[in-house]
Amino acid sequence: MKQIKLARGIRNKILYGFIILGCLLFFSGMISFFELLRLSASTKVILENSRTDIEISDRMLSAVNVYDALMHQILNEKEIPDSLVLMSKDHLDSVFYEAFERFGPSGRMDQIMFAKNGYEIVSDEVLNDTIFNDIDWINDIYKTTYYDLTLAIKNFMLSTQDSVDNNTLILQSNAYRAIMPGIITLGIAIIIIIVFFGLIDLYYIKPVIKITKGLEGYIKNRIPFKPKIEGTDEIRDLRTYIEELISNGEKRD
Amino acid sequence: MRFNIITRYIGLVLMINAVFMFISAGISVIYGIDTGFYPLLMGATLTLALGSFPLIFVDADNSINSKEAYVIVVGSWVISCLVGTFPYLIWGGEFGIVNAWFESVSGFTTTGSTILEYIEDLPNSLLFWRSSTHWLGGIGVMMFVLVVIPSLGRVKMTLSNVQMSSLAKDNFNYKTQKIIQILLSVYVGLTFAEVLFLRFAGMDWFDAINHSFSNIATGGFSTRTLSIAYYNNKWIEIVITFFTVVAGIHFGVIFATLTGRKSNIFNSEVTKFYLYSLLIGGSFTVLCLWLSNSYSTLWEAMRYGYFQIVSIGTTTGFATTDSNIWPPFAVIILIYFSFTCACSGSTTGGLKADRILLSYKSVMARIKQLQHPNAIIRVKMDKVTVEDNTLSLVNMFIVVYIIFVLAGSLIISATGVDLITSFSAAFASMGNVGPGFGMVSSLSNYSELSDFVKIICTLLMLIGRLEIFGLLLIAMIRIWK
Repeated sequence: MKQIKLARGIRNKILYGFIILGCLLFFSGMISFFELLRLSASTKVILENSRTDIEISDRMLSAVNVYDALMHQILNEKEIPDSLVLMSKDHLDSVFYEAFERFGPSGRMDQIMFAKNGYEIVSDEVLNDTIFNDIDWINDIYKTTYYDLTLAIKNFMLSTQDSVDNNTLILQSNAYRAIMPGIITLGIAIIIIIVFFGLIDLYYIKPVIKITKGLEGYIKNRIPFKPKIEGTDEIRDLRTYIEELISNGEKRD
Repeated sequence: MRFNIITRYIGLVLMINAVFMFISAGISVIYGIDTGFYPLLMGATLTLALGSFPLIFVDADNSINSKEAYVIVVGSWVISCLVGTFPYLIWGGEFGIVNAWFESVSGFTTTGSTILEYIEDLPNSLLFWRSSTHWLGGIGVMMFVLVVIPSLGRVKMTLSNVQMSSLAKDNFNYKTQKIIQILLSVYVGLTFAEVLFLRFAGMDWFDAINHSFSNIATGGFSTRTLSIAYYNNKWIEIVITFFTVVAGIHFGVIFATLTGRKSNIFNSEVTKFYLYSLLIGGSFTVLCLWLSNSYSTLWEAMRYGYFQIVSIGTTTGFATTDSNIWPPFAVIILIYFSFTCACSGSTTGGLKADRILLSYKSVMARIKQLQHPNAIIRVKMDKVTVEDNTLSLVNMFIVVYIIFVLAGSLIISATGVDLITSFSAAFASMGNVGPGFGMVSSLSNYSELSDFVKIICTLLMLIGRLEIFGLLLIAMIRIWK
């Protein structure tokens, strides 16, 4: 009997096949996981930012309203302690300063700061005791600047909502990005599974069935056969051994 | 039909795609890991997995029959287009499934149509991948198969039957391996040369590489929304015009000219026909533009007129102006060149100058035959007699080509698109030209068309790139014995 160098291919091939499949599925899972984590993080950031924006806007509005109430009292010639006015002014300035620190560079505070400067000039006139019960002045000048300022703050709040809208759209596209790699990877994994099955069927299952049927015929009816099988792995060795087995059997007969 | 062998060779082509995706991801690293990095890396990994899988199981086999070769060629084109969508899809933005498919098919078929409204929004790495699809498609994904396969041993010429025009194949008397070497060396050499010239003309390195990739493949993808018009640089336009004209010539003829062989540009009848056509067509266009006062000076009319004629006539599709607003006569000339295009054996699409010349000669021969019924009149090309069978095939190809363009126009117009846009989108897609007229003019894009129309256009692009019969044979594979 001639010596045959045994091939050790089937196990490796199937192992590699499963490794690729496993890696793909793992890859798909990891991509989706990380993308969803990122999505979750950006959602959190957007919501937190939106909340902070609204809070600051609310504080600005409250500070302006308190200050406006004081101004009205002064205009109505009521006695207001200076410390209260100063405290209220400090509060107003600090809230606006905080907002400016946060949004100043983006230009979103420009309208508010412009309106605040106008309101400050007018309110300084009130504090300097230059205006008393001048209804026309209060209606035309003071109230206008006050409404300008509150309107600017409200516009700022609306713009915050708009930016939430925009960010939601970004989130939508990010969600799409989070899902798409997973879908593609799964699609490829399905294709590979089909190809994997086809190749295993072609290279291993069909040859084994063919050999089994041939051997069955040979054992039952002594019909010699030559298996038409291609390959470079153990299946080839199997074919060679069977051919040798049959030729030895024929020699004995 | 051995599907296992087919999957192996398609797998090899996918590996080449994966390599270019990795290179594009590398470009992303150079530019500080832009937003294209992860999509490209993921795309490359997935393509690598898909491509390497058949290689594990299927052993190399060099005895490929013509039927298998056809399936490998067409399969490689379609699957390359499919994997080409991965980076776009993962990146997102304007790329939905249909848009990504459109961009990928347009890239691999070297059409150059785009759905992007603002190309500059794309990261550099994705722009590079976009141009790479042109470059890969230009030489033909199958050309890579022809490079890979000979390394495994002897191989028949069957694989080139689909990819290259059958006429181009007739012009060669070399063996397959030699042809591959010639085509690749000319292709790569021209690309390098153009990069250098564009750099000297004033483009930055990145744009120069991308535009060279597009130009040598006669594609048309630019890194700018305004295409070449963005640069407004006459030197860049001159360099691109020159290389576009060269890219439209049979690569074998270019090689023969460079190496001082007999069958060079000056002796090739087809090349002369192609060059004279461009010159005459371009001159008429320039005159029309000048006389109609479309441009104030003759120089301006020449600058824009010749560029557009060369760009459309070679199916490249770069633009320096909006030809949509040109006078009708100039538009008709552009449409004529969109059909005839350049020489076979180049990366251009369309009917090709060879077929037009042969068709013209066969008509003239037929007229002579009617005048002299007993005479034996042969059609000759470069002093070689062309068989009647070849002439019939040429005429049949032209007829089928026109039928496809008309059918495409009909389907597109049925969706409510105007006549000019329907017709021009159909012929621009079928001829792998890129820009047309109407909504899809040279400085516009295909984004406004419906998804259905985009799919029809991609189908026409593939049919045109595979010289019609390549795809039809696959569609009728079951009855192909």
